[in-house]
Amino acid sequence: MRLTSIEYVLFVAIAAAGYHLLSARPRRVFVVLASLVFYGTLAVRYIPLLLGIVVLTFFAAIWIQGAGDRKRGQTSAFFVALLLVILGSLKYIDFAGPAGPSTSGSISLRYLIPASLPLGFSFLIFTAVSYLIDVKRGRLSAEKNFFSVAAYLLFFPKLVQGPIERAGHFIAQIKAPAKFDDNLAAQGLKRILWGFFKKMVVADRLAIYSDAILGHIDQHNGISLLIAVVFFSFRIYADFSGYTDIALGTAEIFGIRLSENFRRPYFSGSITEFWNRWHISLSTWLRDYVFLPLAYSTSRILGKPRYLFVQTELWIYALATMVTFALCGLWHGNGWNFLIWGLIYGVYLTSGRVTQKMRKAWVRKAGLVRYPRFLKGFRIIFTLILVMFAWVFFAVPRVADALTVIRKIATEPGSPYGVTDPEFIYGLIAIGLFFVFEALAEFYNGRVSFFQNRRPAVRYLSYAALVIGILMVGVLDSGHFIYFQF
Amino acid sequence: MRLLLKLLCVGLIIFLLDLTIGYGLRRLYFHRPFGNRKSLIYVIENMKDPIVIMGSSRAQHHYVPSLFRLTFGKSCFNAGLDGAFIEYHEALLELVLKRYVPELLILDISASEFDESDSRLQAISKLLPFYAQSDELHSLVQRTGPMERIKLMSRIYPFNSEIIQLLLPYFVGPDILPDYPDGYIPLFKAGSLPPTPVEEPGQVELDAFATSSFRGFISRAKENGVSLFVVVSPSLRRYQRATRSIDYARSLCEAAAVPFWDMSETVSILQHPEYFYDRTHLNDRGAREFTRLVIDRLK
Repeated sequence: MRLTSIEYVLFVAIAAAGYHLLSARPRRVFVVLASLVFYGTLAVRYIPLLLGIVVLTFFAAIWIQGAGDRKRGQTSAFFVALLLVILGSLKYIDFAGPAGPSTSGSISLRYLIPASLPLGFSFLIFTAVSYLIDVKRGRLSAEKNFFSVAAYLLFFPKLVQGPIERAGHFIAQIKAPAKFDDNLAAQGLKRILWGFFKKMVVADRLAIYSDAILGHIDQHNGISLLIAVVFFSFRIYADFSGYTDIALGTAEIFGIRLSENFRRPYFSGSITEFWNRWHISLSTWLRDYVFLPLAYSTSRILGKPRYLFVQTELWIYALATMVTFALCGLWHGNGWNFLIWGLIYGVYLTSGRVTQKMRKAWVRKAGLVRYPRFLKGFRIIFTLILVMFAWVFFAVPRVADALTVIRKIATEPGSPYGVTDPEFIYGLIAIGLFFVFEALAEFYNGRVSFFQNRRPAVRYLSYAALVIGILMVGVLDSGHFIYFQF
Repeated sequence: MRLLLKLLCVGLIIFLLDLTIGYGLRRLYFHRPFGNRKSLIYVIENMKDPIVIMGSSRAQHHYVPSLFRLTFGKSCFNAGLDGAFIEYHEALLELVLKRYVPELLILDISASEFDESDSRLQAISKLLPFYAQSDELHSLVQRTGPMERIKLMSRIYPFNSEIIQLLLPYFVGPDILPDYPDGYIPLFKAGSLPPTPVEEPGQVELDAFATSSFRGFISRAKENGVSLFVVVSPSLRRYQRATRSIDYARSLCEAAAVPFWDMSETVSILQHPEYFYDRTHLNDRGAREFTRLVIDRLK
């Protein structure tokens, strides 16, 4: 069942009606069943595995809590490692897939790719791990009701593509005897509609051109590849944030608020800010469960104030950042390209930290502080260029392909392919519309909004316009979301 | 209750907008001044040509109707469409046969004609503007998915993704949006291609829907006494594994006594890389050469 299909809309309508007719306790059972039905339409064969993870997580949390102070760390480490081994074995070890490195001679870990990674398992395992660590740290008590844990792990809107929800935030909501909230449901419906628009009108429109070019990089010149990379950058954002809007909107119809995953990341003024706005649930997960523990444990090992004339604090930051983003890259996929994508961000952030004082001094010296708007604009554009550069490694399957794209962009100009093609024009219009909506929300803080306008007529017309836009130019037989594969 | 009322209001606005815009799009579609999309309206509503070519973009770019006309003294129309597969051809044949029976029909198929693919049915959407007036399309649309009929309750949906093509004739001249009066779209660039065929990855399974459409196509043509020829035109693409689509088409044509010409490896074409626009399509020069070869066989 695609999330942008009529089937999904009908499914949500029936599931939400059933949910609101029940009291709190059976609701949890109902959510679990509805989630399994949903997952069954995508990959029924993995349901036993899914349930196995739920049972394991439920009992593991109880054991961790029951273990004494001394054994709690070991018990949690064991179960977290077990979950990660399950994820690793599903994600990276492929005995049925294509063997050996790619025939093109490029470096590739394709032989480690599974025949098919169970949908959403990266999200599921990270959610489960966060629950176990939070129980171990005493941030929350192990949940005694199996269906609360099952609903937390399996809640269908977030099951296959996140957000990676924290247990404390979710379980309290699912246990509360919430009444049907008209306003929240209306907000949810609007959000779903906006998600549909992002996915079908923006992401899938851009995909047609970017896939056509990036799928045949040998046949296209630098300028066409550059446009394709720009299209891909907007596409992946519209695709993933579109999914998130649908997921959050669906949850709101159920009276549940999930965590925000995006805050207009392409208006970030730095890479640090970008990661505070992009895939927020993953970046905070990595911060809380990888970066901070790693930085803390490293700081206990490195006792001197400086190593090789560099402050220890900087070494710790560099090491923790590089490891965190290497993991971030590998979490996304099992190719060298994903690892390099992650490491690029590690390099960005580390070099940003190293040059921070220098850059500030330069800005002051150049007198740019007197032009804050120019400075902000410059920072946004520069950050966006850095982000788009990194996307090259995400957009193509092999490192060699990414390097070819970069080489061609740098050395092979020419005229762009298909500028009179309707797909190109649709793509430009899609980016333009999307940019305007995002800019209004970013810079006018919702003051200029058609969807939250005081006049009902303007609001209703705006929603209707979105539907008409989808019918007119949406890709209505669109495929799955990009992040489904992770 | 308030939420339901709001939804009702929005629904009503959507309904009215859909009705109005859908009507406008229909007018634009069926009264377009020029442009190659006009060809489809001609094929479905007006075509009476005794010789008809059907197929994908390879048909569209590989068969020159004027050469058929000069040789046989009968008019010919090239009804090929970019991205079309056998399901589309079957539906199109059904619509054509409703009005008249062509004497000679060439169906150009590709080496991946019946391969399983998500994009197989996309070309069928090109026929949706005719959905309201054609019972033949109803059963086909039902086969594309249970929700398609619900989508078709919208007046705009049949014209999904058409708005730019519909408006372009009012902003650009025929030099940018040329008419192709006999359906043939020539390609004029010669690709810088290697002289040897390129190996492509192997193919996937055959699509059951596609193979049944091919059977349906052949039987409908035969029932109506159309002289059908199934042709595979030249291509520089080669597959590592045996081409299952070609084998399937050959066996079915043999069983139905329909001439099947696999000309994909015609040496007199393949030895001239300058005849190709890209690895899949001939340019105008190549198309004229290839059309002559087909005509020689037909004589």
